[in-house]
Amino acid sequence: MILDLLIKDFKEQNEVNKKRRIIKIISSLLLCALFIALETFIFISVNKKIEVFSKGSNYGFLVLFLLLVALLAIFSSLNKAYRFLFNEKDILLLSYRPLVKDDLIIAKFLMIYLSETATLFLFSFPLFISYGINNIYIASYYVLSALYPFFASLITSALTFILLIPYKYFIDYLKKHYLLQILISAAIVIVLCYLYQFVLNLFLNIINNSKLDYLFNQDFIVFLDSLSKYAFPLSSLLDVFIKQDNLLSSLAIYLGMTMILLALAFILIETFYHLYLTDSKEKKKKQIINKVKKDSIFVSLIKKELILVFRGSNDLSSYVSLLIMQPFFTYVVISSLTSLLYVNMEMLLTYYPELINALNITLILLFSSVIASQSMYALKREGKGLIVSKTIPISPIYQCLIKILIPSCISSLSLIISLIILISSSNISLNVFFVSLFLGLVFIISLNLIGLYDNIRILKSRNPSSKSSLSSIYGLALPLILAFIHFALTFLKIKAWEIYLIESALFSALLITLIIFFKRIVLRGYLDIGGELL
Amino acid sequence: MENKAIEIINLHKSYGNKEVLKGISLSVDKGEIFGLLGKNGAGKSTLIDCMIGLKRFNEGQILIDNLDIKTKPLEVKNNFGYVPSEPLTYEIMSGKEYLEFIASCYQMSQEAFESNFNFLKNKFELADEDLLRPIKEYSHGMKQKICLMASLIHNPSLWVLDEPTVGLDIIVYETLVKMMKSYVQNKNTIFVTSHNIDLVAEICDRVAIINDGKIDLLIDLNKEPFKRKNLKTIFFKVYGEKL
Repeated sequence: MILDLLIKDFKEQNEVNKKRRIIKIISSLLLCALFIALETFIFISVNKKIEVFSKGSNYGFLVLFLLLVALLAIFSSLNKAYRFLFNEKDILLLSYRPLVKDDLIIAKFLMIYLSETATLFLFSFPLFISYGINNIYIASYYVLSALYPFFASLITSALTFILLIPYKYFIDYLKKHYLLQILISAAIVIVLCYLYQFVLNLFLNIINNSKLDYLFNQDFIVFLDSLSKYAFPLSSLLDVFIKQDNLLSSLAIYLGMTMILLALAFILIETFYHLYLTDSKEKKKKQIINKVKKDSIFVSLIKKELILVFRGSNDLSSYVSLLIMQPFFTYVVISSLTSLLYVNMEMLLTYYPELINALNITLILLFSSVIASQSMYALKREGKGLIVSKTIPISPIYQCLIKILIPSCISSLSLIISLIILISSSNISLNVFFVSLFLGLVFIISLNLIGLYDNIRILKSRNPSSKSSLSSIYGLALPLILAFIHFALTFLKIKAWEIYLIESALFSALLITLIIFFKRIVLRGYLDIGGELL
Repeated sequence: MENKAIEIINLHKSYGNKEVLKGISLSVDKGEIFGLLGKNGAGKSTLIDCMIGLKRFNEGQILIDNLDIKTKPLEVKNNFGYVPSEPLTYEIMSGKEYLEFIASCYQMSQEAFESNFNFLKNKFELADEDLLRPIKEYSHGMKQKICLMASLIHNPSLWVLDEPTVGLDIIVYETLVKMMKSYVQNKNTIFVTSHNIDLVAEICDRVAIINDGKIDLLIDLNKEPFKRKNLKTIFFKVYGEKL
């Protein structure tokens, strides 16, 4: 029975569409390969530098990396475990079957265990190989280290299960508090941006063969040495696989600790899961409706859009992420590119200073297109409610305008923040600020209009797996065409303000054309959308 | 013409090359309950979709309260309430939020909304704590109740129901029947399609049977009351089947 449940969960994880499954597998493999390459490169390079600084600290550095990988496995599995155990559809389907509850929990645990083993194998095994080559270990070390993920994931899976209960309470609480969701998403994105910057700096320093003095001071080395001693129970396992001393006692300590944690995890989850299954249906708070309130048409449509965009989906966190990430990445990319170009192409930029502005405006527009891409699903987000929207006495044009208002405002806000950061850090001039602002706003509105057309086209085609291709092409092509025009006019020695004027005129003409077609597109397309397939 | 709630003239509708409605003409008087019967795929739902402006049609004219659905769609939409064959709402909203949204779309007065909300809430026996929960957590019957409430909240003069009894328990079913009967007392009109011939026979004043995209038979059950009992047999006869 456990095996059947495991196979069911495994099948549910897989994409049904064969083409999409292949694309997903290939892209995941490519991403993993890139991550492993970067991880091993940084590990080997930093290890060499540590060796120069303190000969015995490599082991501590490996422990640090393995601990980070273990933490990554635990936290990446938490959400997966949450979805596995508290999937309402799954509970509904299985609750009336003659299943032993323990079988269900064991099957879910095995699923998490296998997933964490795969994660640890992908990200730890290359570290073991690098460490082994560096320290000239014999063949048995490599064979043995391949077993490390199977042992280590026992403890990480147990910890995932133990942490799952507070995680569930936290997520359930978070789902009801939108402000907290925004704050937490913002905090996570800021931490990720900081980490990205840290790794990028480290990577660039390694490439430039810098000394990394800011990282390797005495305190850090002491920290590394103590880490290898106190990273219990992982340290016991590493004693078995790497040091290979006190084999039996170290293994016994690790397995003993693992058994205790596994038992604790099972007792906690079993008790909690039982309470969850029996109470979830019965627990109903007595609530009273004090007042019902009607709003104006505008307010009610805006409210509806906010509910569709932000409630019960990942859109809230992705919007917050993009809002923070666009300014950050625009700043990081533009500032590093500017300094790089000034160093390497000084002569060309002296003659053609507009080239750098062209590049900056293009990058600003490209980043804007990324955040605006969220709006491509404006109509699809309606789901079955699309039929409702067709029966209410409000013009489809007005409804569609409201639909693109919210994503346009969010994208514009992100653009304005990016530009303020760029101008306050002197990365762009005042002229470029205003031109980018105008072109950016026009670009965002036009992109949203095309996104809406794309949405109508896809919904009309009755193929729910269709992707919004036209808007993606437009979002990428227009900034590149603009860059080409800007470069060409610069080389033709046209004055900067004239170039800006030509570009603004072109963008305005494009927007006016789209607005003229908008009414026709919406009126003709809206009635043809059935909504049956949504 | 003044007395007509619905006037359909020579309606044609095709999906690609397949003609689904082949020149339908019918009229529904104000204050009557009009039933449309037909087997699956006969064109009942398509006719309703064209009537309420959900779908385009190729030829013909549809007038609701003397307003053309093609030229005055928003005015027409103000006048009817629609119950789809499967409950369609914004399931991410709570029942209360959804009804507030619908009331706002029809620009009802606050007083009328409050009074209708309380009346319908009690009629369909939806508790406050249920109305505060997201609709996606509702059972099928509760979703159908919310759709029924939303269709009546703005006091429409025409109530269009497409298979309204699917998934309703016997108590709600009886409530619905009573509501339909009292609804037409005030010169309001009902257009209902259903597979439930007993329901149609019980409440309808006139019945049309649609077959292969055309109205095959039109019966005035008030003038021919004996046909109420035999409606099932008549229905089968239209389709060349024996009961």
